Amino acid sequence: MGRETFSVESYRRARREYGVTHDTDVTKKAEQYAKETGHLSEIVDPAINPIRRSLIRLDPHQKKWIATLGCPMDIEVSCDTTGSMGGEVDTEMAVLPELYEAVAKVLPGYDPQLCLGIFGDVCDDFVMCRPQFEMEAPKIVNYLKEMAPQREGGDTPEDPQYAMFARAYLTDAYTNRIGLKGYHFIVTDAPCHHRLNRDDIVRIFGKDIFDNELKNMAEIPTMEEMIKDLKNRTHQFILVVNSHSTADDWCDLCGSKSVIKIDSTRQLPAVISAIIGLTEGTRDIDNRLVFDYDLIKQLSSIDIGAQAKLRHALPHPVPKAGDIFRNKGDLWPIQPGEEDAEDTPMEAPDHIEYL
Amino acid sequence: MKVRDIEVGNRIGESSKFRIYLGKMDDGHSVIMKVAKTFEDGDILAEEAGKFRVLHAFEKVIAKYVEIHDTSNPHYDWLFANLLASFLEPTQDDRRINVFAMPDIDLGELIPLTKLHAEVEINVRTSVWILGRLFKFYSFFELLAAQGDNPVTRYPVFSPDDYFIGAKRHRLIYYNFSGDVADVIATDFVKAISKFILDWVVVGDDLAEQKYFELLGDFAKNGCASFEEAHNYLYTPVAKLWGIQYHPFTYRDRGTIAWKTIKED
Repeated sequence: MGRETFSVESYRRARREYGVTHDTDVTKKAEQYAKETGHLSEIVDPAINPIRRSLIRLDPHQKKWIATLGCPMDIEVSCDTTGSMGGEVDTEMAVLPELYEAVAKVLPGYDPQLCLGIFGDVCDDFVMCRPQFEMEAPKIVNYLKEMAPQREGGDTPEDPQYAMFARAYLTDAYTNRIGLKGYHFIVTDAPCHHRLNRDDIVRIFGKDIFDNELKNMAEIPTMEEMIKDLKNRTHQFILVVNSHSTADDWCDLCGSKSVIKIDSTRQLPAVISAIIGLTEGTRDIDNRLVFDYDLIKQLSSIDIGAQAKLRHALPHPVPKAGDIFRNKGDLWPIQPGEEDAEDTPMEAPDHIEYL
Repeated sequence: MKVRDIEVGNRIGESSKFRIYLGKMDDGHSVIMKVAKTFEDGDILAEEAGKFRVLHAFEKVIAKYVEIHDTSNPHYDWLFANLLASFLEPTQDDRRINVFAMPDIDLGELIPLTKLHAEVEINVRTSVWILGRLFKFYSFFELLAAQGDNPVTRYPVFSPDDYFIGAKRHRLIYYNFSGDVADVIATDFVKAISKFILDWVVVGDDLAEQKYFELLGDFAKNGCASFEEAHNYLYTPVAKLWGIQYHPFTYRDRGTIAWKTIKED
């Protein structure tokens, strides 16, 4: 799966190659395409292969597999693009290098993988866009330009609950497999509808969703159940842009430790990296990035070191670059002391075992 | 031993949950490091770090106000240690480390208040600025409380363990927010702090010192409605008795009679 990661140079090159040279209207073509065809681009359509994956990157190595980078860390950000927030994909595109650099800095030894999506309202033609978790600039730039924000406004609350639902039930993350949590951020200036509707789920994630990916979901969970499941899988945060009353609504829904009020989405790299750094426990707030009193007092109230507690409860150290896995799908790399058992002779490649 | 960019020096203290070390950063700055004894003990330092961050952020709000309105600087920043970083250190079994710098003073000049209190007695005028600093420190919390919702909703119970004294430059620096906290009742806190000073100070026979002794007794018996008020009640008579001016740190070792001084260079 390679060892490429995000770089500013590859980001700039990708923007040039994809023709995303302006700072605004980066999604103009995609919006036009969606309007004309009634379909989203496949790479952001939550109904196309609905499961999003964040997996450890392994390369073949002497008949085994070697981790080319560290443990993946899934970071999903779903941004409101209704009303005044309609241009937020432009912002996400603009702050992307800063965001990646900031999160990579607070996640030493990890492989940060970004899923930057958007959401609107169920009355929109397209309720949400959700790309795969990616770690290379060309892929992220590509999926951002393929978003189709609906930019409608006036009907608050909005429907970010389906983005939360997707992370809770339609995500395969290595972090969750080994007992860690990823990160999930909703960025919005509006409250959330307290409803999960079967018809909406089918509309967003495809008509076969309950026959395939969600076939074990006998009943649609309540909002409370869904948020509980989301919190079991992610460190979940709501970043509320400039609205105290909206923040209060979200506090009621998700708990005050999960809600942070921000002034502008330009603060996303600083705030997201500060939250991750504090939750991981290995980094402190960077005073050069976050110095606002309101922000610092909110950040000081989150569950600091929550990921460190999970890390300590793991049966083995978190996998790192260079660890060897016996098989590609193995949960853990070969641990010290297990290697001798691995030296048993392999069967000759031309051996045929007859039944 | 080195942790990140800090050379860890001598151990200077220990509590049930953490040890305190001196440290020197690569850039030459001296720091104090609190190192949790276990991973689990790190929670108390994580909580402390959050509180220090809020104190500092709020202090900056006040400093900005002072700058804009060109008023006299209360220098609340001199009253507490500056948290440089708080992190889990993977090379130390993920034990949390809080790193503090001391504002505007050399670490070598600082003495733990508890130690000072145990070893020496102080004269009246030395006690004035220490008492004044303590009232001022707690008045900062009153300002913070007036801001409404913030994570520092409960205030540190007065304990001399939590402070350093910089004798030369009249500094009292709070550096340990990991102890007990309580809902602030100024009256009770003023009483406790005043009793601590009464137990420490040597009061002479002259009229000025006797008047000050009465004031201390009143604080210890009746407290005060607020720390700001207590600060004013302290300095109004003190200004009349001795004037507001620098007085060298004047002390004597316990069990001796010869006074000594520590002066600013």
